Amino acid sequence: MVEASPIVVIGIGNDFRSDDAVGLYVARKIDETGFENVYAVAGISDGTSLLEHWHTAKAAFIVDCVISGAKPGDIIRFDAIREIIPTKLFSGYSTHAFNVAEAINLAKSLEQLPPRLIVYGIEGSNFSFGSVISAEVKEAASKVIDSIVKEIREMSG
Amino acid sequence: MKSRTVKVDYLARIEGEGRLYVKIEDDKVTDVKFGIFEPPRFFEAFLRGRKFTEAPDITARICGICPIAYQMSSSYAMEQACGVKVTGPLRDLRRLIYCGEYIESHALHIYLLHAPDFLGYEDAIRLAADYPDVVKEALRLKKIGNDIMVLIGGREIHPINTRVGGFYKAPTKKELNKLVEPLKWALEASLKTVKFTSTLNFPDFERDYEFVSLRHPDEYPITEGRLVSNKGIDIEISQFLDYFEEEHVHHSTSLRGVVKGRSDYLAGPMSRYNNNFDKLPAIAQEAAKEAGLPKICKNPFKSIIVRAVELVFACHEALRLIENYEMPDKPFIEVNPRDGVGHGCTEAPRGILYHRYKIDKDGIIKDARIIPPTAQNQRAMEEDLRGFVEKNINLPTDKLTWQCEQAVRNYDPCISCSCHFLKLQIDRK
Repeated sequence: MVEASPIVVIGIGNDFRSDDAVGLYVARKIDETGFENVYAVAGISDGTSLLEHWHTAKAAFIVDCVISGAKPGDIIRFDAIREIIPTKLFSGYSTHAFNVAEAINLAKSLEQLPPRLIVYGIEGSNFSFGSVISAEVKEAASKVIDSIVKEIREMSG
Repeated sequence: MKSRTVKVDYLARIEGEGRLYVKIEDDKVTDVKFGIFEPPRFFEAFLRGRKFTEAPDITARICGICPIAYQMSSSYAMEQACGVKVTGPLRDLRRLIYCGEYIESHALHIYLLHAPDFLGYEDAIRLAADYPDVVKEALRLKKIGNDIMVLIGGREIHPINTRVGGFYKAPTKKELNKLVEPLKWALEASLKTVKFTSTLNFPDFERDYEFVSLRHPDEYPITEGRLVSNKGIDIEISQFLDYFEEEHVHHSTSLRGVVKGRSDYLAGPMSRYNNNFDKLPAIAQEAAKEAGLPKICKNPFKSIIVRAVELVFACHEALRLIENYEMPDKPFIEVNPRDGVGHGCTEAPRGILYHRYKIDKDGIIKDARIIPPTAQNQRAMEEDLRGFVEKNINLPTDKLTWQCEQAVRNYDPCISCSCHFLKLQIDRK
């Protein structure tokens, strides 16, 4: 039997920098839902590993915390197949490795994007040391989880 | 007076934060500063009071690119302090996981960080648009290095399975055998990488370096050996601080390494290669010869070929280690603490990484000293820039700036490790 192409949910962030952990939080929560053929990745080593994670996937969701000047907890959603991801919004955590936007652009050049790629950004406010996500950011995370679950159900149809 | 400044405030494609500044007055270089402005990280201070067994996991957090180097140097130092020597399959497993780090780190640097300089691309994304197959192979190669680290270390970034005395769990032969076919492909891809890098155009520049690296009687050095140089150093690693010292300069938050009573020195792939060409496997020696790389390479821009030769070595060595591997009865050797001092020095992909710890009878760390390769190479980088700009003073400022950045990237610097990025400024009058 040939295994169906999976759906991948990738959370990006740092567990120890408060709101920056929200992407990881969302990925773990999706993992707990126990969807078949959906796997969640909480944390990546560098942007190029994104290409590895969505290599055989029919769809991928990326969730990251962003700083755009919007209100904490505001959610932005990009269809990365159709839209250009602003590099500044998903800026690098390392000058040595690729950030999310760069990894997506690299995958475009290499024609290695999955058929569907959705990127969620959740506006954060507190990036200091700590492991507590702000209430408004956590509330936004619940909305993003609901949206991703809904999209997965539609795709799994 | 005619003057100009070449500067880059944030150099890309290196790890960490720093700047570069070159001042030229009447066609003479009057000032060169490789400035590091990343804040100090105080790892040495917060290691004090921790258990000796915690050092590998704590120090691995210094770097996401070369965590194995930190885990290995700290483990060896603690084992030396406690009078334990890790041998046999556990030593081989350490060498194998380190090969994974070499493959991952060198593949990343050669193709995604350094090759764009030589081919005139701003970054690897633009390079990928014109050379998709090259970049795809690079990513595949890098992934194989990561896979070795995941299989042995539990994950590729800050592995969790290494410890003082060995590993928490040793892989089975069957598990390691899964790496054989990918590594055979990686070895062929590495040989192609040597050929590819040898076709690049290299600036005509050489310097009389002091090449400092480990040297081991039986193998190309990674984890063990004596510290040697082409200018007479041949010492035990425990003598490191007798021969090398760190200096502080105002423009850098990282201390800079010098040979006591002399000057700057070079750590890294070129030093390892130049000091240990005879210890490379025949396949890597042959690849170097075919690429026209001399046994002693003094052109830092050709470090990209040297890294490719080391890729051949790492893949070949990984295959050899897997072939000979027999799963150990126990994944670690018991290490009981005792009052003492231990030194560890291993060859990170960027060069020698020295650790020294003083622990008490209960294994509590009383003092820690960590000297990473990029800190050691800082002054050599400045000397390269001075020499390179003096030789190429008539180049237009934009081209000179480009090549100065390239000269820094010859080192694959990891400034986060050294403290510790880069701003480049050429001031021309």
